[in-house]
Amino acid sequence: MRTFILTAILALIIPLTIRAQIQSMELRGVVKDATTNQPISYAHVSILETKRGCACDKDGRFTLSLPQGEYEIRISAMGYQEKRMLIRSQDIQASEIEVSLFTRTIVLTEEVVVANRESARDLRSLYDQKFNTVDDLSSKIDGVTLIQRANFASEPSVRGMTSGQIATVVDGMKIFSACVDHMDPVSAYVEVENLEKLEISKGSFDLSLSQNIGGTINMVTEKPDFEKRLFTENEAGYESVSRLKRVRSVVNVSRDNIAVRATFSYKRAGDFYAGKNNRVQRSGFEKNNYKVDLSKKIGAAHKVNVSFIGDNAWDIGYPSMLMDTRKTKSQIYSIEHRWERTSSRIRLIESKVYANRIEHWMDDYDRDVTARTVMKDMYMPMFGKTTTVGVTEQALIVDKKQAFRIIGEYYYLNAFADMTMESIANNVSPMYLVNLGGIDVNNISLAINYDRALNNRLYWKLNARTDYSDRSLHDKTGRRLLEGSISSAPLHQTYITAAISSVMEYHFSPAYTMSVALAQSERMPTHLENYGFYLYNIQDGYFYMGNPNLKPEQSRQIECRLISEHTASRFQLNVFYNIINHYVIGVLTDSEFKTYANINRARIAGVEGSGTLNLAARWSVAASVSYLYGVNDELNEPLPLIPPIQGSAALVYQNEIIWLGLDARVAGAQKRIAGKTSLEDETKSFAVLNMRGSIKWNSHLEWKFGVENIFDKLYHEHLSINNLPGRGRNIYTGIIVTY
Amino acid sequence: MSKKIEIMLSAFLFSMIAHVSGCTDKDTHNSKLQLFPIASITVDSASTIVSLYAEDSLQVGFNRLYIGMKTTDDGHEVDNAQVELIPMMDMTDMGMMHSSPFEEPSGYENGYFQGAVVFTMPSYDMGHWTVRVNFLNHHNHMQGSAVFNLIIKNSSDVKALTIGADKYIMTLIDHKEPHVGLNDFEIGLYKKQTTMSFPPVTNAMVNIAPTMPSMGHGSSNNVNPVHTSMGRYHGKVNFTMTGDWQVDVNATINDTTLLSTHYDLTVE
Repeated sequence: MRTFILTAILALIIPLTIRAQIQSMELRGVVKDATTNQPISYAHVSILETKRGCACDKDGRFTLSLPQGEYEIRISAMGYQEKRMLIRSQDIQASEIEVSLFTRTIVLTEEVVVANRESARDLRSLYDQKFNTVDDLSSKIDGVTLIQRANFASEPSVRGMTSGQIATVVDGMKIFSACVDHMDPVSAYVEVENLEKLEISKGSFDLSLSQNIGGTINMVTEKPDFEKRLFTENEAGYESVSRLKRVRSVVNVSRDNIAVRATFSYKRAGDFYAGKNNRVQRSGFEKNNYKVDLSKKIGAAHKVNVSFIGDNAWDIGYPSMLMDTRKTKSQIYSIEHRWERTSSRIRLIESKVYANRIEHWMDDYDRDVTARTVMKDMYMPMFGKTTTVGVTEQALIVDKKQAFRIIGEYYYLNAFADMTMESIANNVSPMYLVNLGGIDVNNISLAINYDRALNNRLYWKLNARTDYSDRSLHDKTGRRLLEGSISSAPLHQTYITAAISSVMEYHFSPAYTMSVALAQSERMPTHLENYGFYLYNIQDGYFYMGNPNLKPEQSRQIECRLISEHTASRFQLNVFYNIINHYVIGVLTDSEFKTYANINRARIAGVEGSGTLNLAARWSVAASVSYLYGVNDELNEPLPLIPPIQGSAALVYQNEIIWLGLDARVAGAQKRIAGKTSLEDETKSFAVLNMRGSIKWNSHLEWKFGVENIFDKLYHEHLSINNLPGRGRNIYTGIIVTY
Repeated sequence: MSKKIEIMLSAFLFSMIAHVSGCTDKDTHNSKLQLFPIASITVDSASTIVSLYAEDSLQVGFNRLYIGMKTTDDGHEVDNAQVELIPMMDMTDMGMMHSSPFEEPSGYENGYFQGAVVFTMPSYDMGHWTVRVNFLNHHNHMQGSAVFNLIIKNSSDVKALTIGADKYIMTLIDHKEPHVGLNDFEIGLYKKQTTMSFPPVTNAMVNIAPTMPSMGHGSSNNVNPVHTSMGRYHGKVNFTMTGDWQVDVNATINDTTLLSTHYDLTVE
């Protein structure tokens, strides 16, 4: 079987490496400073496909001779942000192109760009696969691991931190999961075709978008394209592992100053099969998603964008949990006004108003309740909803050597959740309780980002943020329940948190960069940690009670990054250490209940290394490895849900027509488990091999395909709840039609 | 946000109305007690009408009784009197009579003399409950007594247990509508000295433990009842959800268990 598959892969690759001879063209240009409009001397221009390049002269001019075709060029200069441009030979005029570079600022976020766009096909394109899900996207970032509960949206963990310690936002908008059992991470309500890219900042070094200590995942949605008068992209796909069928569609229409983009997708999956043909019962789902954006340009500088994302899912099986999702429904609205002028000192002013509502219904009517130990002989349908309304205002002021960004936000969250318990015995009255009693959170924040180029080699970024939050409960039953169970605590609570970070980045040369980041940050408890009532935590088997008196978690972090970036290679090493005081965990109150409480200290340290290397014109390899160490100092045991040492390696071949990759994911055994605070057990090591590819038959038709878990390994990730096995061999395919 | 404004606005409007019609709530303190009239008896010899009220229809357990009196000649509401209660069960089939625990009316308040009776069994064909009200009307300086025939419905509020020669009686007090969250939990504890004498037990240790038999769990934050007055013990019970609850109650004196029982309550 293995030899057959490998032969098949090679048989596919070899014929497509042959390429036709093409005429050549000449590309001339000038590189200028975007703020002063002065030419930049000796900037570097490289063609990513061919690894060729040239240097500009003293007046910022360059000339390149290229075969006809489509290329991505990268323009870089010391002290400036590099720029990438897509060059088509048919677009080249006789005159020279003008490239403006902005003064360099430190970028702390990592991003994964959704493919299927006219995307960069550089080294990073190893990761620019044809993503099927948002999970596919986020798992491509080192340090992000997914907590799996089903064959459905997983909850991301960033460097061992989850839920309230990290934030997941959509275009910076706050959205809160409705399910109290973490069955609907925010990423469940957004689909790949909604997105332009995923931006992830790890640690608390960039808190522009959210108050937290672990990082922010920003799902940046794709906006209408004014350049595309009429564009459609339609895809139909199939996955064998769960007999998943999907269709998705994107339409972009523009006329003069108006552009509209709409997406729709539908997918339906049956039970999935783990390795060795093990069917995982009740693991299917059905889902649709739609997004409509309307953009209007007003004058040269103003742009208004109105956006709506709707998402509905039904009958999502959660094999690792006690319940399944019956239905979810989300609506995300936003209106944004953007004023942008590159020539002005105030470069950007952006105002946004947003509102979203999420509803989540789950139950265990499809389960055998007589056969379980928890809540035996009892059905327990649960409902949850959150409504969030917010306003953000941001301004960017740029000077030659410095940039200042200020972001103010107000948001209001209302969260409600309840459950009914219906005994299968006739003589037992139904039971009812409120898990989240109409919690009101009002939050105001101010964040600033200051970037300064101290000289051509040394850059400094300062990030500061403060938040004020006012919280209470307004549901009568919810108040009574919580007041009854927590002694003498006032339910109304306010918090003020502050965070500051400083990053220094030093460029030894254009290729070698080192940065050191320091941060001190706080994160407020989540509304669940403050006011949750009877929240079942499957990770330790206890019911949890909220605690309005929780103190914010406080974190002190340090991170060092080393980056080497050449035309044909890129390597990065991150080392970080994080001390968290007032760490929030559940503390036993009696034999079956835990209450959230602050413990003295927890620490997380880790290292992430990654590299990509172009072996030859069309071949590249990538590898990454990461290790995390987490310890709960109070109980002197490891923190729960810490991924083991893990890594991935990929070999990619690409040309204009074909993209083909062979990648392996390897995870070591995890023997460091949190035996006192969770039910997790040791996890064995495993390796999974995948093959993916896509072929562009012509400019309209593309075929994507892949085999995941080629050897049909039966395994589970350490972060899989209740050891939910990973998916077995999965053959997927999709046809993409573009006009 | 809008809710707050709404509340502020309505509070403002309400205060306006209250100001304009400031005189109308003069006699509302009487209507706070929504009483259920049982009977009125005119005692001609004392020129007094005696009326008996309760908070609900009478049943086995702790019942507050409210006695209102008027003089027949001038219709004066009697606010100064000495009032006594004597509950009595006449079991004609068994040829015996017995009383039950009770609290004497403490004084005049809100138009009534308020006492309480713990009925220990329901009325039945051959068994009749009466409450005799003896009074001395200080308004007209006449005394008399009125005997009310009562129908007592059954309930499971009263538990009785015999330890050797001693018999103890426990009753729930005021649990009419238990709700989720923290509830007052009050019991009365009495010793049966004779068939006519039931003095309160004032030195017992009472422990409570609510559980949900169908769920197999209890709740936290409960407060064991402690003695307040006249054999009443006051504590708190926490119901963490609606449904069928069982509250285990255990009363001891010097480590000797007087009563170990449970009450079944349905929380709405």
